[in-house]
This record gives sequence, structure tokens and C-alpha cells, in this order.
Amino acid sequence: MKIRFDQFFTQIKRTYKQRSIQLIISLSFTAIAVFGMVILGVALYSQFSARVRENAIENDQQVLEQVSWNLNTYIRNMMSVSDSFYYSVIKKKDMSKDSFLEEMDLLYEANKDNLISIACVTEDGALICASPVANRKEGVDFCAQEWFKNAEEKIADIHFSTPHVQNLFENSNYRYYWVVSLSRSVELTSLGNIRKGVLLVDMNFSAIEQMFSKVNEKTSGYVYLMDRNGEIIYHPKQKAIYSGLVQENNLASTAYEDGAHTEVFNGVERSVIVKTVGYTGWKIVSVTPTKDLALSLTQTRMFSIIILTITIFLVLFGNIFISSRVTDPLRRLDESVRKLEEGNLDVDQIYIGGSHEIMHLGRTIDSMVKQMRKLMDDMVKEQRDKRRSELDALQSQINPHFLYNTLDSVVWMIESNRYKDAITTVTALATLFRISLSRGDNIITIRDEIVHAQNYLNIQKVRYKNKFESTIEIDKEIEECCTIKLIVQPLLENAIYYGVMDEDSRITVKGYEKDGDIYIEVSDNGMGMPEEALENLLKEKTKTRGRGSGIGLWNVNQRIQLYFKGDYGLSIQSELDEGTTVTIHLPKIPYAEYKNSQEKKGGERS
Amino acid sequence: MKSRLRPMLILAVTLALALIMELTYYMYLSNREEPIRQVSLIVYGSDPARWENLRQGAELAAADLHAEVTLITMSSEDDALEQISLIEREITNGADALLIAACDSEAVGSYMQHETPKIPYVFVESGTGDENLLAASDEQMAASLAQTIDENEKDWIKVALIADHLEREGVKKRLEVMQTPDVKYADEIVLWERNEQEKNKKAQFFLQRELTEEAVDVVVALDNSSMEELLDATVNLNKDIKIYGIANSNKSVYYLDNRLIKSLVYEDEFSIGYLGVQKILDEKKMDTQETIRYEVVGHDAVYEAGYQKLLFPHVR
Repeated sequence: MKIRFDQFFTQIKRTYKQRSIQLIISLSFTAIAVFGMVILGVALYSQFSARVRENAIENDQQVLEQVSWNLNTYIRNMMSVSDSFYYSVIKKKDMSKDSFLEEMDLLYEANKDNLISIACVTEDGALICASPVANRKEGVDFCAQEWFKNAEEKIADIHFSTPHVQNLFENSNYRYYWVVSLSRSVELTSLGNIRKGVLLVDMNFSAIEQMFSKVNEKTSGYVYLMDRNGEIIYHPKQKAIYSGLVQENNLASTAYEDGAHTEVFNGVERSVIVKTVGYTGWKIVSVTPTKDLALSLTQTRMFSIIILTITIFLVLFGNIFISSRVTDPLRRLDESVRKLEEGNLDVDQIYIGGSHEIMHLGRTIDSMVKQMRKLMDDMVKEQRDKRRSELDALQSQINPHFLYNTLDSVVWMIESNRYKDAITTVTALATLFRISLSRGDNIITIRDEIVHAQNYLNIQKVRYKNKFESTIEIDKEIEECCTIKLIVQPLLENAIYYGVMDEDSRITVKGYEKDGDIYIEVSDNGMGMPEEALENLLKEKTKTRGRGSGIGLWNVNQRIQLYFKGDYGLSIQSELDEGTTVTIHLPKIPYAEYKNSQEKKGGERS
Repeated sequence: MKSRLRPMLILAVTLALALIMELTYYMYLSNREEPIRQVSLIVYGSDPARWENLRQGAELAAADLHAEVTLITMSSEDDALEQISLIEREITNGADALLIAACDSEAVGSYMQHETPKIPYVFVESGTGDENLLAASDEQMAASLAQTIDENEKDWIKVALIADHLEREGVKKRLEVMQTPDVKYADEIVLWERNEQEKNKKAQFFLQRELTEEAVDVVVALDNSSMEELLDATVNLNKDIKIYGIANSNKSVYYLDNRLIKSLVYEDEFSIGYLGVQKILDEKKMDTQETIRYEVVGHDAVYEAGYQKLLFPHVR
């Protein structure tokens, strides 16, 4: 797991490093801003939601205080009814002589909205009086009822029962009353004697129900009332609880002290606030599901998320815009340098723009590029000139041995009285030198080059005592085209040296046009060359040592390529014991055209 | 760089807009007041007080499910056509769900089956079939009643069974159980059943005549209507008669308390109403099968804590 995490983290770092400066700035600033906003948002939201929850609990507590106060008032009223009747009537009257009924009716009438009945019974369960006046229900034993037993048990206290259906008097119209019985033990005076009795005030449960139902009209949560033992007195779903359809955590709630608590009941987290009602020990319990406490927060949360999303995107776009403005000059400078890096020295201009630091950087690089370009141009020109002068020097060289042997042949001819041959040889030699000089021009017509070649062959024939035959076939169409001077003669030299072996030796020169180019072939029927020798012939700077003009095939090839570039140059086909053909490939350029262009250049220079 | 960033930005903006729209829609939904659903509780008989427990249970469940319950009574006890017209009227008036206490199981059940209203409905207390009926088991209630009579009345007894309102399937089942030879609770059983001619007259007079003419020890009423008719016939007759029955009206409870009725099989209609509304409105409860409880209450036990919570609607 850790290794995976490290790999993932490393991948992120690598990706991050490879990104552009604009992306890095945008993402970094956005990430920092979003992080800050989220932290701030979460902190504020937590504070806000905690405050909302506290407020909700405080509100519930206030409501509970109000209900408690109302209930207390109601209970005290009922207790005061009981107290008033006991201390003002029962204590002062002798029941054997006086009736309690008038005072009891008065009390009932004054409080009839909140109570069902007031009754006074003797310790043996005999009804002394009751208000409103009603017939005692047949077969009902008061002494067996809960309220009576409670009063008898603790005579000093006022007792409150749990809600029950009143079972004292005959009802009409099938009416039954749910009541909470307030009972106390009283001392009755009869014929001057004190005897025990019980005073009963049956509080109308509807009054309590109404008190709580108003509170329970709130949208979430509810309030219920229970006695100190957890027995429910009022609950908005009381009947459903009795029927087992709904459960309440009332028994556990008896252990709660007054105040706010949190509990989980039936899988629901609930906020429970408990308030004990004085004297009775009853507990008012407010229950609100915790999620409802923050119900109003849902909208706030949604609104916050919307605002946060919008802000994040504004920040993102802002960052992209700013980073673009900052990094765009750098990017453009980088692009121009990148072109330079790719070897494109013809870049028009290095980008110069943006802030003054980037402009300075651009200017510096631009200056460096210009200097570099000038240096390279100079270097190329120098190299080219050097090479040309070297080739020119080579082509101007005439092997002294060739001259010596030719002149020696002429001397021999004169001594043998072959004056005509001597004249022909000297004339050929003179023509050779004249074409060789060519007023310093490198480019001559093919016709001149062939004349030069013919003269060279004539001299060599004299020298070789006509040991070989030669044929020159040049198409008329190419005679007035351009060629570099002295390119056929070295080939003839090679053909003579390597191809002339016996009386049947033959050297052929052919010139023709093909596919718009000019080809001149020099062929011999000598011994030919092996393939490996052919391969190196044009690659290496080989020379004929001690023989010929010393201008090798490599030299010829280099000169052609130097002047005409492209695919022009020499090619050699040779077969052992069959012969060798060397082909010169030249572009077809009419000499007149060449001359015109040279004149134009000359004119421009001057 | 720009060309790679642009699709990402477009995607991000689209997602953000979608998120904002979703959240705004959610806020709109949470702000919107959900309409209150209307549940029509169509019962037989003309006395709304008779259905107090059922109504209270239905209203309590409806309050939790954002609904309102309207109790609709009939002008008579067993006019199936009237009840069907009430059902049609409520559907036309836009009721979202129906709770029906069928006065005639076959007629109303057949109507509901063939017409198949597009709103959910459930039979309560009286109806047809088992799957779509919420009521305590009629067979078990009748058997419990027979057992109670058998336990309470040790001597040789003659029992009269009121065979009325048999168009309600539940009553018919109860009667069948009470007449089963295996169920021993009486030495002699007679059926008090009105003929066609007598059905045009008040049942109270028929029962008074029977009570006067035929000496029986125990009279058994198998439904609320029969029980109330029996009580009306008995109250002023000044005849010592032991009444048993299956009923849960306020009047029945009152006379149980006043010892005219000796024992009552009391069906928990509060639970029927509560569970009935849940079944038609709460999707989670629609397919659940609930068991409705009933209690056999003797006249001495009316004020026992457990029973008084069951017998007396909580707030009057």
C-alpha cells in the first residue's frame, strides 16, 4: 500500500515537473486558494452549524420552560383548589352539621374549565359530597381506587395519579373522562371528632393535552410528559404507544438529569431535553431528532457549496488569465529558442517582449543567434573557398612525367625524322594547355572539353605507339552545353593506364542527353575492376601515383558535386576481363545561358 | 498547452454548471411545500362516534405522512350502492387513497376489484379477501368469544346467535365458527335471523320480539350493528339476559361498564386505522401483513390499566 502510494506520489511529482510554467502557476495558485477556501468554509460552516444547533436546543429549552411554567401554574391552581377547600372549608366545618356542597360548587364553577370534579369521601369510602352533583356509580369501591390508596399511604402529601378514566359517577351519553387525580388525606370533623377522609380533585386531562398539543404543533420533534417512574402522562402518540405501534424511550429518560442530552433510540440520534416539574416530580421531555436540529442548515450548506463552486472557478479562471499574461512572453521566447534548437538558424527573429527581464533575455539571445549565424556563414564560405582553391590547384596540375614523356616522344620523333608527327604532338600539347588554361574559367563547353580529350588521346596514342584505338561520339545537341573543364581527360587517363593492354585495346567516349540531363561515358575493354575496388573509388581520395595527370576520379566527382550539387557526379560500372565504363552525369545548361548569368553577376558586383 | 487545457476547462465549467443547477433544483425542492394528500375513510353506518378509534389511528398515521383523513359515513347501515357511489365521489373529488369499511363485502369488494381505481385502497374492519383487509382474525375472535362463554357460563345454557349483517364477510365467518360443532360453548344454539319481510322493519323490534318469545340464557351479537340493536332492544325490556358479543363501539363499552354486556371481544380499531393509512401511503409498509390484536374484556376488567387504554378513546 505504501509502495503504491509512493509510486502514485512520485508520478504526480514527475507529471507536475513536466508541465508548463503556466499550468504549474495556475494549478498551484488554484490548489492553494481552494485549500484555503475549503478550510475556511469548513471552519465557518462548523461554527455556524454548531451555533444553529445550540440555538435550536436553546429554543427547545425555552419552549420547555414555558410549558413547565404553564403546567406548574395549572398544577398549583389545582393544588390551591384542594388547599382552599381543605383549609377554608373542611377544617372549619363539622360535617355532621354543615354541608360542604355550596363551597365545593363555588370552587368547581370557578375552575370548571380545568377540572372534572371535586369529591370528598370518608376513610371507609363513603361519598360525603361531590361537585358537580352526580350519582355515585353502582358497585364502585372508592377505597380500591389508586388515588384513594395513595392518599391513605402518605397522608402528609398531595398525590397525583397517572391519567386514567374516571370511575366514580354515573355517566350519560356514554361519556367518559380521562383525568389526573389529585388526592390528599384530610381530617374531617364529625360531632367534634376527627376522622380521616380523602379529598379528590379530578383534573381534566384535556387541559394538559391542550397545553402540550400546542407545543407539539412545531414541525419537528415533540414534547411529552411522564411521571417520576417513567409512566407516560401525555404523549402526542399516546394511544399508538399503548397499542404497541410506536415506541418511546421514556423509561431510560427517567435517569436523565434536567438539561440537554443526546441519545440513540431505534437507530435514530435524538436530542433530548428534560425539565422536572416542581412538586409532582413529573418530567417534561422534549425530543428532537438531531438531523432536524440542523434542518435549516441544508439550504445554507447547498448555498455554500454553490458559492464555493463559483468562487473556485472564478479563482481558476483568474489564475489561468494572470498566469497566461505572465508566462506568455516566456512561452513565445521558449518557442523561438526551441526552433533554434532544432537547427533552424533561419529564424527570423527571437521573440522580444513581455516584462523588461524577459525582453532583455530575448535581446541577448537574438544577438547571440545573429553572431552565431554570421560566424557559421563565414566558416562555410571559408571552407568552400578553401576547397575550391584546392581543387583548382589540383586541376591545374599537370604531371611533370606526362610533360617529360610527351616531350621525350617529340624529341624521338624529330630524331627519327617524323616531323609531321612531332608537329601534330606539339600542336596537340599546345591545344591541351590552351584549353587547360581557358582564361581561368572553370566552365567550358562540352565541345572544348572533347577537343581537349581528343588532343590528350592523340598525344597518348603517339606515346603508346598506337597500341589502342579510340572513338568519340558526342551528340550535336549537347556540344554547346556547359561542363567543368578537364573532367573527361582524367577518365581517359585511367582508361589508358588500366585498360590498354594489347593491340586490341579500345577506348570509347559517348556523350548524349537523357531525361533532360547530359551523360558522358568513357569506356574501355581492359581488365576491369573488382567490386570492392569500385566501392572505394569515389569515396577515397586516391591518386594515380607517378602516372597520368594525378587528378583522380574522386577529384572529378567532388568537383562536379561542388559545382552542380544534387545527384550529379560520376558512376562506374566495371566487369572483370570485360572492361570499365565511367559515366559523367551533368545538368543540361546551355553555355550561352551560363555566360549570360555570369555577366549579370559581374554587372551586379561592379 | 492551450489546446489541451481548453477541453478540460469546458468540461470543468459544464460540470460546475450541472452541479450548481442540481443544487439549485434541490434547494427549490426543499423549499417547496409538499401537497397534503387526502385520505377518505369511507365507513358504513351513520354514527361517526362509532368510528372514533379508527379515525384517531388513521389521523395519527396521516399526520406523520403529510396527509389528512376525512371520515365519510353513510345514511344507512348496509346500502352497498350508496357506499359505492361515495367511493366514486371521493375518487372523482381527488382523494389520494381510500380506507373502506365495506357494508357489503361482496358488492363493494367486487366493485373495487372490477373498477380497479388508480389510487391505493385498503379495506378496514370489514371487506373482502385477506391481503387487502386489515382486521383482527374473525375466526379467532369468534373462537375466543365461544371460549369465554363456555368459561363464564358453567350451567346448562341456551344461546341465541343474532344472524344479521351477514353481507359482511367477517360477520359471516364469525357466525360460521360459532356454529361449528367442534366449538363447544352451549347446549342449545338458536339463530335469530330476520326474514325478508322483517328486514324492512327495525331490527330492534325483531329482537325485542325474539327476547320476549324465546327463553334463552345468552344472546350473542357478532358485530357492532347487531350489538347496538340488541342493546336498544334490551335496555327497556327489563329482562335478565346475558349478552356477549364482538363489538367496539362507545355504546358497547358503556354497557359493558354498566354490566349489561357480560364480556366483549374488542378489536383494536385504533391500530387498524393507523396501520391502514401506513399501508396505503407509506411505500415501505405497502406489502407488509400486520396482525391486528383483539382483547376479550369482561365487565369487571374495564378499568384495568391495560384495558382502559384500549377501550376508551384517549381524549374526549
